[in-house]
Amino acid sequence: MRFILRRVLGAIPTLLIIITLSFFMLRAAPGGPFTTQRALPPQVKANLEHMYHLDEPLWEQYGRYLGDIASGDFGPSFVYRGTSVNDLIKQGLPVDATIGGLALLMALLIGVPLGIVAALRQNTAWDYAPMAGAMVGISIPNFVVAPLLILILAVKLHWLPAGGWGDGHPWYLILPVVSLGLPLIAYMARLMRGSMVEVLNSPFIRTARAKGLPERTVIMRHALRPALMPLISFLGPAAVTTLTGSIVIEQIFGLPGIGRFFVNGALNRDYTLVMGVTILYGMLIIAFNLLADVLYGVLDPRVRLS
Amino acid sequence: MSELLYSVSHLDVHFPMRDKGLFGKTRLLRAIDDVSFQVHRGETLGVVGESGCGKSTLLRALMRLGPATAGSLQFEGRELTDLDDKAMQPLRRDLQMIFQDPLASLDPRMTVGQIIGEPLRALEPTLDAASRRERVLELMRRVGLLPEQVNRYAHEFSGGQAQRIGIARALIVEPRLLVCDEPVSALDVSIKSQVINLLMDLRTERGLTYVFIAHDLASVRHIADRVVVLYLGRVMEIADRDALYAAPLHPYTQMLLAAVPIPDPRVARQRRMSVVRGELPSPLDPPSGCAFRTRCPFATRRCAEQRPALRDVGAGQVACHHAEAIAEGRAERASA
Repeated sequence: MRFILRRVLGAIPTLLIIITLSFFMLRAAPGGPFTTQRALPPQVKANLEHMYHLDEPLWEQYGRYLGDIASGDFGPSFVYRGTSVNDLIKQGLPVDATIGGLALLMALLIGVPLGIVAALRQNTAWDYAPMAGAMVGISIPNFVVAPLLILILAVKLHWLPAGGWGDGHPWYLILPVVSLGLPLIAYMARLMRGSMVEVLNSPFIRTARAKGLPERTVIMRHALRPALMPLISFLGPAAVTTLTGSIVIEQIFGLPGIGRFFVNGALNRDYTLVMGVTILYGMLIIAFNLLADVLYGVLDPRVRLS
Repeated sequence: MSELLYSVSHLDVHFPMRDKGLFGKTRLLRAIDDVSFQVHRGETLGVVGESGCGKSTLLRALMRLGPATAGSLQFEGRELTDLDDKAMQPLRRDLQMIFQDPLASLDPRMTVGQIIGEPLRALEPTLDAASRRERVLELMRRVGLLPEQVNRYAHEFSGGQAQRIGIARALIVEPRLLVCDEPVSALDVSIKSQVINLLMDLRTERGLTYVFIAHDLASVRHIADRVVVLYLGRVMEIADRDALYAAPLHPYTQMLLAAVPIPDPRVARQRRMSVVRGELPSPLDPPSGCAFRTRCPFATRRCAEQRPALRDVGAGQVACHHAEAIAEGRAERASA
């Protein structure tokens, strides 16, 4: 408990550094939110900048921004007029979290067992077939897989819709989830196989067999827990990038996620939007790494004690 | 000799090894090559040999924890090579093993009590938790651990204590044969003798039979009744401990004994036996005939042409064409 509290408090300076760095780097970039191809009349531009406090000194803007964030307000978007960054995130994040969460779940349910079976049946068809498949899955980028899936399952066979969100109807989710999840399955299967093979060769597994335990007990009680450790270190950051959405998948399937806000925001110098999404990523990364550390402790008493 | 407990006859353990390259040919590594010996109830059989001679492979085969290519392994008259892992499992009550690296051999995620009690849970599922705990604590006391350490994790212990945990874990199911794979080679000298003494006390107390592997001749001399000498996966000599150390028959045994340092320089100067010379040949490409002939001072043409069988000579068995001649001092020493 004290460990978790200490980690949460320790996250505050990290977040502050993320905020400060991205705030000043963004401002240092040339151009601004109201730089358009046709120059705005000076009076209009001055009014706009005054409205968003862009005419104040940078330090004042920074202070004001920190104050807003502390009260949970990411400010108004400069480009999506009349909408706050909070609204945009509230709108987009559930889409990404649904797709990403399902993709992660699918990868865990398929990839992990495949890897375990491959390790237990090392150098047989049970090992070679999934591992060859996994290599393909890792090598082919999702901007190739997704259009192929659309072409076959939507355009030719008419089994599934080619794109769109459809208010989260399961029918619309299948293709994006599969496209996002395939490389994850592949990666987890390989990771799991590798760590499982290593653990199965360790002396304490030999001891467990010598004790006369049934093979099932040897694997479930002695081998699985240590073999899960690398998966957890991978899952911490991977869960964040998956849950916050992939701009490629969003674009291909026309999904209203936050990935496009991030890219559009960056291109248009939408300061508050970019900051909001960056801080969200930062917080999620910190939270998931903390979760991974807690899980380490659950799986390995040595981590807990030190 | 008393009743036969475990009998190994003509055991082979071969590993196919592929040469490097796409079209590398597969060659056989004969880790154990036609090994036979018997273990009698109540005795301690020492197995010695240089590293890489197949000691650990032999033990794993005995325990059916590793492969056995050909030959027969009989425990109390039951053939073990026919049994699969599942059929082997009830027999683990009688056959237990102690490992070389005590710390790495214990699951770091378990407490001492769980480690020691687990074989009971698997092999005596009817035993209730309270009596299981009772037996764990009693055995911990017996091997020199404090009962209050029962909830500690294995990594909180020193090497010697970890090996005591390993011994308790092996003994909890009251096995008949305890196979020890260099149980003290990872320990400090002072701890080493403590653990060996503990093993010897337990042997008398519980009527145990040991197969004890070591590359250290001193500890084998201390604990073993009979000794098997292995070289490149083959048996060179089997003899009673006293006979072997007093009058080794095989030139390899003589050389191994000559390599033991003698603390008194006056005695050391009188030593006649020559020191092991040369390198160990590759087990992938063993010498023809006698495996030891490339390093043997008495090697003749016959040694290159004909593989010496293990035969009875005096009190023991030896695999050397010239054993009698060497013993009587008639053998000619090649100029070294």
